[in-house]
Amino acid sequence: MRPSGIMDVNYRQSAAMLRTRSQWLAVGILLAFLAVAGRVFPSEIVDVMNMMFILIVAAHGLNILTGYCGQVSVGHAAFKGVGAYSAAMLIVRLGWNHWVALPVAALAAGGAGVLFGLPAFRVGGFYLAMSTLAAQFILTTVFIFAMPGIVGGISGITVPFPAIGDFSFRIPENQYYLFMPMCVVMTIVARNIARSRMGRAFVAVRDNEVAAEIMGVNPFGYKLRAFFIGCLFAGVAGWMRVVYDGCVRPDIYPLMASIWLLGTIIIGGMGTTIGPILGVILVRALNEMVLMLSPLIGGFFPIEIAIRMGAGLGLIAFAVVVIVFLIFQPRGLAHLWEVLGARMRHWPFRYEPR
Amino acid sequence: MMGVLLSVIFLNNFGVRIAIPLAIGCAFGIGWVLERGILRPLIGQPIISALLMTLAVAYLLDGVATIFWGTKIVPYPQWYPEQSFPFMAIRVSSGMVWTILAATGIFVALAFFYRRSMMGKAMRATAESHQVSQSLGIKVTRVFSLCWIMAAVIAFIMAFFFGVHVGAFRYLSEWGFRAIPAVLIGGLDSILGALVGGLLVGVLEVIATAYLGAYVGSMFPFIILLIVIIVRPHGFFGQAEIVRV
Repeated sequence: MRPSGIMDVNYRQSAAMLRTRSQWLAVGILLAFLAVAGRVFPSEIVDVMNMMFILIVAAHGLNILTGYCGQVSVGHAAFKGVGAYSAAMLIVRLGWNHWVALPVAALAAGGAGVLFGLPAFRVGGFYLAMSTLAAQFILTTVFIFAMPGIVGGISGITVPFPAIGDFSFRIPENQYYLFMPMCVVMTIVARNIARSRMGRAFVAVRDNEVAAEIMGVNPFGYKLRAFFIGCLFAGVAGWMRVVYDGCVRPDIYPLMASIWLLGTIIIGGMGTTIGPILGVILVRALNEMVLMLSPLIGGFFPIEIAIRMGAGLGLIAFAVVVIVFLIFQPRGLAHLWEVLGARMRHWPFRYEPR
Repeated sequence: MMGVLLSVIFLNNFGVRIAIPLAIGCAFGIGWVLERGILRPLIGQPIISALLMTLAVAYLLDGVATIFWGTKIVPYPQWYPEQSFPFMAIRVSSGMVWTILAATGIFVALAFFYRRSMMGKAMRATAESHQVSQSLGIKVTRVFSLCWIMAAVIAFIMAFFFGVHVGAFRYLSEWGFRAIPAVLIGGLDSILGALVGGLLVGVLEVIATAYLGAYVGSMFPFIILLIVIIVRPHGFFGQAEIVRV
């Protein structure tokens, strides 16, 4: 929200993503930080950041589908898996180049999204969420059982790491310089989709389907487009995950991962571009903290409980954060971020959040 | 999952006569606490919030179970006399008979509850529209509490039978998702639909497993679900929702 009285005075300003000089400065500092971070931080932290970049891309996709268009997807990890599997199969079985496989994998995931989004023709809301749940179960079953010779079965496919010349994306520090620019580009793409004609149509379908239809927005068409774009992002994230792991396995894309993503965008704030970013950073950081702290907490318990502490505490911490945000801050971190900005602008005067 | 794991403890420590009422009491408490503490603040918010809240609760309980029980299968005590006797051409175990009897009893009781009792009718009215039923004098919050308590109690009762057949382990929470195709195919607001849908999905899954392989069988309910959602979204026995403009 802009403070009152701040208006755009020409079209260029109105269309600009960054309006003020301080915004340019802040983004410049952020990009400069990101550019050096891969070389400054120790390898483990860079690895965690790589993971965050992948999840942010996937969360942007889910955010367009669920946050902007209002179509709940409980199968997003499976769509990510479609991208990952098609990338792995193209690279290993057909000998394609990694970079050529990327757009094809993204399109494959988008196609799967459209296929399972078809029930949007008849239904919406809860029933559509159930059809994505069906997608999750059907796709993971296919990953495990269909044609083990080609799809890889339970042990998956090992994929060679990509390289540009001598610069091999094998170690986290080098992968960082692949994932970070991809994440930045996808964030800009997501932001632009959200503020384009299509993004506004998504919001119209989300807020009131009947009203949107009366105003000339075709809900079915836009729901399918949301499915396609959301799953396209998932496919890109799947390709990144293949590069990150150097393999695909069916257990990387379980139902839990889908729900994890859904929880992440709730925590971050649905229907905002910054929400998925903040959500992924918070939840991922929390996860790492739990992993670090669980041996300490486990020390107070008998040994047979302590060894299971890490897995159990991770689940509990995530669930508690989701519950707390749903009850106390359903608009997520993005709203807190906005309130913080408004407070700083108004300082030293009081600011009452809406 | 909670029902199965808790009932193991109760059965091992107290015996059947105390364990069943104790478990039902626990279910009552858990249902009430869940509704009162966690789902009450979400009234009036979009459906995704409630959906995600229940999933979060599932994972919370899952995490607790992981810490205390681990991922191994806990042996489930055999709490009713097990014997098998011939029935027409097949041998039927008494466990099967008990399970079917209990399920049928619950079905009949629920059907009567929804059709005849005031509270059951209030519940159906609330499902139709919160606002209208509130303004007609139904205590919507009390209906919600009762819903959750009933759901928890029924789940706990069936856990006693389920545990004997399958064993107690924490991945049981995934089984809840397998009930969704059955309910949706039959129709969400129909008891008869749930019964027919459950039988249909179960039989079709077994048939598909036998003729098309285990891999098609395990995803068959979801394939049927997709077809039903496209062809007949409100299920076979559910009421179609009419959208007015």
